[in-house]
Amino acid sequence: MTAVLEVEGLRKRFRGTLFRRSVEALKGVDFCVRRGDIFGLLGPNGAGKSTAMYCFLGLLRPTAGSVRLNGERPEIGSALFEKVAYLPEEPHYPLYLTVEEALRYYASLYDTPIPPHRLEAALEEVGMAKWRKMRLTKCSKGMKQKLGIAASLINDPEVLFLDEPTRGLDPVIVKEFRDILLKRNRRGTTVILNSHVLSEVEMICNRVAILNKGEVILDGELEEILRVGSNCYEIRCSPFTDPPPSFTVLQKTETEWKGELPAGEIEEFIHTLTARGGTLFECRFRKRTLEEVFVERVREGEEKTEENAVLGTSAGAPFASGTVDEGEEPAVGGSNEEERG
Amino acid sequence: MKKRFLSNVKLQILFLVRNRLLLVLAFFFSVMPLFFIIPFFLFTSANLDFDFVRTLVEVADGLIFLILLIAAAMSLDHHKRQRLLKMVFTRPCSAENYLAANLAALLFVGSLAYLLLFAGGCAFLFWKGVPFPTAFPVVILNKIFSLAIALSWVLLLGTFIHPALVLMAFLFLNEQSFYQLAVVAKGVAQTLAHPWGKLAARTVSAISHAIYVILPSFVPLRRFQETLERTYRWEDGTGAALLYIFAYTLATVIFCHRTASAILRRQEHS
Ligand SMILES: Nc1ncnc2c1ncn2[C@@H]1O[C@H](COP(=O)(O)OP(=O)(O)OP(=O)(O)O)[C@@H](O)[C@H]1O
Ligand SMILES: [Mg+2]
Repeated sequence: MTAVLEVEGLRKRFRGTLFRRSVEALKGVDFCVRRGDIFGLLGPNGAGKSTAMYCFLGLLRPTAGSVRLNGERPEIGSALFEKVAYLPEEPHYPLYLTVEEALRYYASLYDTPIPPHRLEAALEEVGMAKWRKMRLTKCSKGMKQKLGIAASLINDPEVLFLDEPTRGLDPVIVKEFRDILLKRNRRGTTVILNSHVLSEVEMICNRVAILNKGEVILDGELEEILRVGSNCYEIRCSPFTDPPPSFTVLQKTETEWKGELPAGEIEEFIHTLTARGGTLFECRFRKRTLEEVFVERVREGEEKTEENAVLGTSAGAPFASGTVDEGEEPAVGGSNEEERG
Repeated sequence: MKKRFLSNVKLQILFLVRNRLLLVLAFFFSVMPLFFIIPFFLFTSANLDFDFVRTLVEVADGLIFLILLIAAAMSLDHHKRQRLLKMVFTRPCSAENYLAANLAALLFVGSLAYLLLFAGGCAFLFWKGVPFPTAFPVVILNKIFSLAIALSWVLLLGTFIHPALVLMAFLFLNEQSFYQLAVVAKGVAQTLAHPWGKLAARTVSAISHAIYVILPSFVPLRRFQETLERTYRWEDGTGAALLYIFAYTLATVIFCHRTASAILRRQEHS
């Protein structure tokens, strides 16, 4: 598959001023997004996700490194954007326009004429048709976000950049938006999105990268990321004598224990349980969630930084591991591919 | 290309006409000349009728000029400072196109105001039966050229300096004020007896004169324009002067537009 976005050694330093220290927002970011991906760029607040996205689009100039978008260096206002769309983190609109005027204005900036029915459809799709005559000054945050989404879909983009797209949206439209993205993706649109809503990312992305303090600390296929590491079983059983130490009891009552067990220990556990006269009520395999991986990786990063600080090395020392290796654990059913259709 | 330009022009015009502050200013400014009109109606000689038109044009010109400079600064502030451009430049719309449209819209509105003034002036002269001053259109055209020059500079400086500061500079630190400072300082130097004082005043005068020369001029042929605005008469050389002013204006507009576009393209829009 061809690469839509190639990022190599991307660095961005915001120069300091008299009153402000310089900030190195990106410290050498590498990754690649292939055609047809739904790529999630994750990371805690201030990790550099938005900065990275600005660099991908040419809105910020990298201090070092290269960005290739569809094989070209992104230049603002260039013809490259005919088939690229971007929804900023905080969309700023000409507030004196109405919803419809704003959408029409953005549509008029493309070379390819966008037929009125497509604008109409975009407004309908995000549920803004009934507010079309409303001035943007009077629109709520969510309404503006919906307009942003509509504006980013009108040119039928091949590559779609979304910076926290579901921020401020109600659950119904979030679900609809997800469906829109998946539908577009099936038709060939590559999606690159920043998000804090990990459950959402888990539902739609096939690849993710986690950015922390300007560095990529994890990058890979979502399925593989979730497969690797500490999957476990949730166990409900009757109390029994001398449970194995790998079984962590989380809740105890007179008649029942609830706990967790690492995936590899299940056979031995059941053996021990039955041998000691216990009864197994329920046993459920629990896949790791993206949230767990995220928290784990980010915490790991924090600890490394603290260690480095204690040792007196620079805070920017490289973290261990980037890309995930092929599974160590047995493959787990229920891939996200099903949800992606 | 053309479609984009026109829709950018439309955007800017909508900004101007839907801006409450600008509308209030425009209303206030269009009422203000009425106060100049009243004293003139107390007299009726033909000469005074012509003077009336001349004064009206002068007063209105200052107000149109001022309000359009304010509008240009506000447009820059609203669209650039408030980071609307990232939604524009992540579409295939170049900085050149955007800026050209911005200038065109302001100039269009300004020209409309000047044409209205011209029409009003003509109607008044016709009503009073005063013979048409041959160079009245030239006067108006000159004003439009001056406006184009000033707006180009505001748009250029506004790309890297806060538009409010640019506006202040235009109002208080313009070519005229340095010229006047130079003249005043020269006068002071002549009256002072103390050699150090004389030297200081002379230095101030020289520096202000240098700044006056360096600063861009909105009135390329000041002497010609002063005579023209006194007589409103077409004379030998008026055509040539007009051509020169047009060329100067065009060169300034192109220079400012190109430079501003280059700056805007290199700037970061996050
Ligand atoms: N224009 C700027 N000047 C100086 N520093 C900046 C600028 N923009 C961003 N930064 C800094 O760069 C770092 C990364 O910011 P960025 O907005 O990319 O984070 P983010 O990952 O998008 O965070 P969030 O999840 O909160 O949106 C932060 O430390 C921020 O303070
Ligand atoms: Mg962000």
